[in-house]
Amino acid sequence: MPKSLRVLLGVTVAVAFGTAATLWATAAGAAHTAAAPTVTIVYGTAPDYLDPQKSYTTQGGEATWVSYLGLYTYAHKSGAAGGTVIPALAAALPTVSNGGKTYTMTLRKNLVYSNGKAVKASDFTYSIERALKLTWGGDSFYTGNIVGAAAYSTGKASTISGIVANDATGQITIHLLAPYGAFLNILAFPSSGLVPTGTAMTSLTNNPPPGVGPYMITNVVPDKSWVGAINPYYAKEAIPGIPQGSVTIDARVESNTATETEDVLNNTADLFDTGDSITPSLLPQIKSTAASRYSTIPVVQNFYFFLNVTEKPFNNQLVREAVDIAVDRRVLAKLSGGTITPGCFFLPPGMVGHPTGACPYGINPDGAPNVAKAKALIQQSGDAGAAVAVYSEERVPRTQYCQYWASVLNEIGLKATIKPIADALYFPTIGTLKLHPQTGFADWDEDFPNPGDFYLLLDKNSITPTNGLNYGAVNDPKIQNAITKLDAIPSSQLNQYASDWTALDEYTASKAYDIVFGYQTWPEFVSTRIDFKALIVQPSYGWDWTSIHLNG
Amino acid sequence: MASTPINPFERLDEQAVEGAPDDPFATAGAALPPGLGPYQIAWRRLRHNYVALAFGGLFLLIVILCLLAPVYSADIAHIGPNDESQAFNALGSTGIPIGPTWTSHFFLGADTNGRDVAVRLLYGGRTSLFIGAVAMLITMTLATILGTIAGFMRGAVDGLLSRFFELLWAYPALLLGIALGVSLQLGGLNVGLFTLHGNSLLVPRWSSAWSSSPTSPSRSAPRC
Repeated sequence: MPKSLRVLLGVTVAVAFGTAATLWATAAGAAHTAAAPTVTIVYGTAPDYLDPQKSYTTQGGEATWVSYLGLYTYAHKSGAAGGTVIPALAAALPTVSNGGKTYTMTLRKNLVYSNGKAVKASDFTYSIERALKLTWGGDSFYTGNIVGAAAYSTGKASTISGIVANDATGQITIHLLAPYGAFLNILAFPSSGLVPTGTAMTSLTNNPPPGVGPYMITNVVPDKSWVGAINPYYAKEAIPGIPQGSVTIDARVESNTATETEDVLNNTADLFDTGDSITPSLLPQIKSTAASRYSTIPVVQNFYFFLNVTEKPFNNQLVREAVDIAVDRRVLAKLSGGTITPGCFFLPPGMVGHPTGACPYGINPDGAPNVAKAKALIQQSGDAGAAVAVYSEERVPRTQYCQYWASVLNEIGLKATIKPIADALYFPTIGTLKLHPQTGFADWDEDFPNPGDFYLLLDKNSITPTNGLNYGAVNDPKIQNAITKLDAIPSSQLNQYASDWTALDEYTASKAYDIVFGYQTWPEFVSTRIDFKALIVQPSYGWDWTSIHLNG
Repeated sequence: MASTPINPFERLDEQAVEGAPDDPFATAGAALPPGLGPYQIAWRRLRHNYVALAFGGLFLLIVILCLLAPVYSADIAHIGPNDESQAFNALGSTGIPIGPTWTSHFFLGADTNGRDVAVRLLYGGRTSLFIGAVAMLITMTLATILGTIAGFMRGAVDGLLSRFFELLWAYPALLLGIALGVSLQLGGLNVGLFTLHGNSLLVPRWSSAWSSSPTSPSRSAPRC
């Protein structure tokens, strides 16, 4: 064969191969894309953990509540309706007996995890034990309520005696120490989500375990990105009220909230984390050019500065009163870009028991502070010049809140310095008892519609060596007695005891254990790709991934 | 016969002769007048370099203003560099800060925390000048000592020192400075047996609440 012909033949074969390969790759990609389009969610901070038995922030909860269903979960609805508990892996709502101390339910049949492994009733016991072993931040919900949980947590028992699970029948029985009105909400936590028995009793945040749910968390790059992939086994389970996902979630951290805002504004990202604040300087542009894909929703969430009442100078009531009357809540509202409503009570508006009367010490959240009186109180206290370390997150505007807070403390006669902590490490850091953090930023978003959820942060049982939630180490007998009494009230009778919660909250405000400065609204801000009207914002966890659909 | 020698220093006071060299010492054969030292020569040159004089004066003005930052803060602006007590008036309802007022209060406007930008600018200038001066002093001291040792000892010592600095200068200075600054700010630096702890080279603060002490118990020093 002549050389020129050989060359021509070789080129033809190469071109044919290349074309075929390209067509194949395109077809494969198109098939993948058609099955699950990808949307990007940008977060200002990484989740604390992506392990369901460790995570306790909104960023972590947003991923885990749809990836690790427990016996119960929340309705996939916005607003107050999103606080309704519905059966998830349990076939129906529980039978409550024994004066509210025994809960009995049955597991649905033929459930499988995202790795195809069958779900057993005893996996529930193992999952709760795992949450205790991993010292989940809310573990006092278990140890304070379930028989045998405290003994297991302290190593005195090899299993939780109060949970009886029958793998053959799928029946699960839970015995409580005392009636607890919000126990169903505890079972709806992602930390109560089932994982296979034998899952390592160490944090698997970088390689989350399998779970049951519309999504599964994969491709975790610590503090940078993770993927919410559609769980291929979930479609067969078809749990009523819990839809499948239709998009793949590409979650990434963009610690500069201005860039985060611009990304969504310019459609290079699709959803803005509801737990972040829109950069104030970009709000006018968003309202004028992207009004159809932006709104704000009120949430039951408070913002406050915790005060460590076991450390100087905040172990002094006079100092606590001084800082409470010195802070200008209007400034903090401005720093938030207008997304915070100034306030002084621990229970936010929308929560049963939120006081509507006047703030203590003559504080007017919408008026000027009384700096002169605050200075006098500091002098009177004898703690003038005391050094104070203000723990602060690094992202805007939370770092600005703390800078302002430090400035107020200095103005009235204390010596405050800022101690910035990386956002993803912040809450575990201030929850570490041995560090004795004196003061810093904190917030709490409603886990479930019961004031007991907020008073978890003032419960002495939440003072733990690590992952503590009672950052100020508050141990007030009056508060403790009230919590014990009111937590037993069934959720259905909550409103009848609203005045008791109000009285408790007014007492808490008078002690100035925490300096509440406002209540948040969440931004709903998306790109032009997203069907805005179909979106659901879960009141506790943020975006409901199963509600994300593309336009057209 | 040689031409009459020209007093080279008289040229500095006259218009330049076309084609004549700038440097009076370039005039061949001219005898140096007695009494003028190198500093005087330099001053006379500087006197006629109006651009240099202008920017030198500007530099001095900046230094003086920065040194007087506490005076400006206390007696003119009536606000400290970290003082947010007037933030309510300095921020709009959505947190957008006010612009320059061109008055004693918030002369250059406010920042996003409601602090006076002009006051912070002057205090920041003090820090920048301090860093420059200290860096220069450290460099001079070390260079003098090491150069003296190298020159005095010569031989292997000189060779070793010379090779070390050549290695150091092989790195782009700006990138090296940024990398070291970030490492030392974050959590310190381990280079084999040598450890510099984070914040060990902090710049002194001008006020008690000027900035943070960024330590985090969870961070560890990056290893080189």
